[in-house]
Amino acid sequence: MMKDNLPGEFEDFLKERSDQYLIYPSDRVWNNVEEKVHGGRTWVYVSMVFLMAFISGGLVMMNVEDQKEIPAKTGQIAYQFIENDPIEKIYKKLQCITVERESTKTVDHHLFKHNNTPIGIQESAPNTDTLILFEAFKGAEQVEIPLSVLNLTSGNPKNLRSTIKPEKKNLISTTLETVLAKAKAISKNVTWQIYATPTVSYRKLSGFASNANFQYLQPSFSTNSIFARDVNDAVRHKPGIGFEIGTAMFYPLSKKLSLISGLQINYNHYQIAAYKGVPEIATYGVNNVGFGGRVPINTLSYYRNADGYRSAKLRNEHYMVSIPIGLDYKVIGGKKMHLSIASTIQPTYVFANYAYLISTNLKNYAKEPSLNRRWNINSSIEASLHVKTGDYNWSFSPQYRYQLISSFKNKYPIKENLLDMGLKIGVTKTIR
Amino acid sequence: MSEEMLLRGCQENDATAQHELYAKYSPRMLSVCYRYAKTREDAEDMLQEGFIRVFTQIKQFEARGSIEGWILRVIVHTCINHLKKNKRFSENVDLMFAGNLTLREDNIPSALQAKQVVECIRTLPIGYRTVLNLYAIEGYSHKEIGVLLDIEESTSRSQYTRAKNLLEEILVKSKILPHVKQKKNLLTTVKMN
Repeated sequence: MMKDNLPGEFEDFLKERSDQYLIYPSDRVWNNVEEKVHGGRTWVYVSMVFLMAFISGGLVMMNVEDQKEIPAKTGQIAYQFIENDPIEKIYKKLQCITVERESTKTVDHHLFKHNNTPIGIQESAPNTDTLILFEAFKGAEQVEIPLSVLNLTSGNPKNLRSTIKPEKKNLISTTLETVLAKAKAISKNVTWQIYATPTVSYRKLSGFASNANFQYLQPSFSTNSIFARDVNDAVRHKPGIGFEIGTAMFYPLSKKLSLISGLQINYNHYQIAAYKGVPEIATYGVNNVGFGGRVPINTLSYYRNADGYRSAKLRNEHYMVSIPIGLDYKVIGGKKMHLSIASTIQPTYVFANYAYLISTNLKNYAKEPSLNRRWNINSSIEASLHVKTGDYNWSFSPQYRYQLISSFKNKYPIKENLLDMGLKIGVTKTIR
Repeated sequence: MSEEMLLRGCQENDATAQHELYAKYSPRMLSVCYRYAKTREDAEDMLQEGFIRVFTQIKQFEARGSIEGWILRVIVHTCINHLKKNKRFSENVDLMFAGNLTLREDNIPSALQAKQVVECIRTLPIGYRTVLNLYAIEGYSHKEIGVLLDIEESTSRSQYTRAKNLLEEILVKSKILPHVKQKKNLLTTVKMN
């Protein structure tokens, strides 16, 4: 950038004064920049939408059988004969056979057509391999099937045994039908539940302030006269509102005991009281770099635990997905209402973590993503009151969830265990 | 983290390095945005947009000049684009307050504060302010300003002269600068400071 002429005193003065003026941006700016550059939380919400869609879809599927009037579904699927199938021998001269499925509450069969002329039906149940030929079939001109072989009598359908195998039909429809059939078979008494839990989220902190091990070339450096103190004496934090949503399967092991498994998402957040301060270097532990070398983990901090120029509230947020596995025990009650207790272990993946960590000398707060643990294990206990209304079973369950492993890696000397307390509201449906 | 490591980290899209770079330069850059913006919120929007561009384009940065200078250029261009996008240049820029006062080199008081100067600059009409910022503070030539703002070079010159005069008047009226009659010997004080 070249000036047209030499700048005067006025320009120098303005530049000098302007350069001296610094304005510290709000956290919003960095959060938005980070979100734009690294994707942020958009996919979190997308995941939630997908989960809700999955749950809704599951419910719809479960409800299909309960509808009083089901409109007929007709879809055309390809039909392939297998080799050595006696039916193939009979029909091999037919160039175009289509099979349509008709399904209502009272009717469920495949309709065989040739040139749009119905020639027979195949009942879906109980004799799925039985082909029933219509009497009208005899009049189709293109059909060259020896009637003697079919042994048809006028006006009376004839059942023919066939070796048609479902898996030889259209691959997709066959697979789907097979899976659904198997699922129905094994899930005769399995119940599915969806639930949502508003929670109060908090954390348990432990550990002591430390400075000596985390400074370059200053093995005994300390700036605090009462240095080795409990982190709980220094931190001011308070609970926040979180939530939990998920779906679970209950598989009965005995009359009173059920196995639980499912998928759930948790959001945990709490608040920390801090102060805005001038940028400072904060230390968070050490990295071992081999050969006994130890390098401090430093990051820039804008927040102080005390003595800043303006108070600030920091939000620590965690988004987790987990697979609860546990047992539910029915304590008392009947079909209409009963009480149960349940406990689960939850392998957990923390897919988004927006947490401020206190520095090891307890003076600053900053984000240090390298110290956050991604995989964790949670546990939960709950007592549930189940109330049956129609086909649904509603449950109301005071719940306590506790994170068993610290949110932070071991190189950070302060430990944090997240905890949530809430009222879980669930609705359960039996798959029949 | 050294400047070189910081740059390399940002070029590798490392979040920690990006945050450190942002922490280091954002106060100065927000001050720059603030001089161009109408409100503090607008300034933060400009800063946000600017740093997103910084992080997405930093791979193109070749270490010929300083990283700060490069960031400054990106931020300034973002500010100008932001103003153009919001049609801020269409605002009235009549010289209704411009007088014939001239600023003498020796009438700048030592007590002048950076914040007050910046606030006075912000009272200028947007067109004047933009040219003044670009020429007097950012160091762009009138030719470059012409290209940047889609105006004639001569327009930039005249805008700057008027802006300078108007700012001087504002500084005097705000009692940041003493009146012409009270000058003399002040330049020496400023230089000593």
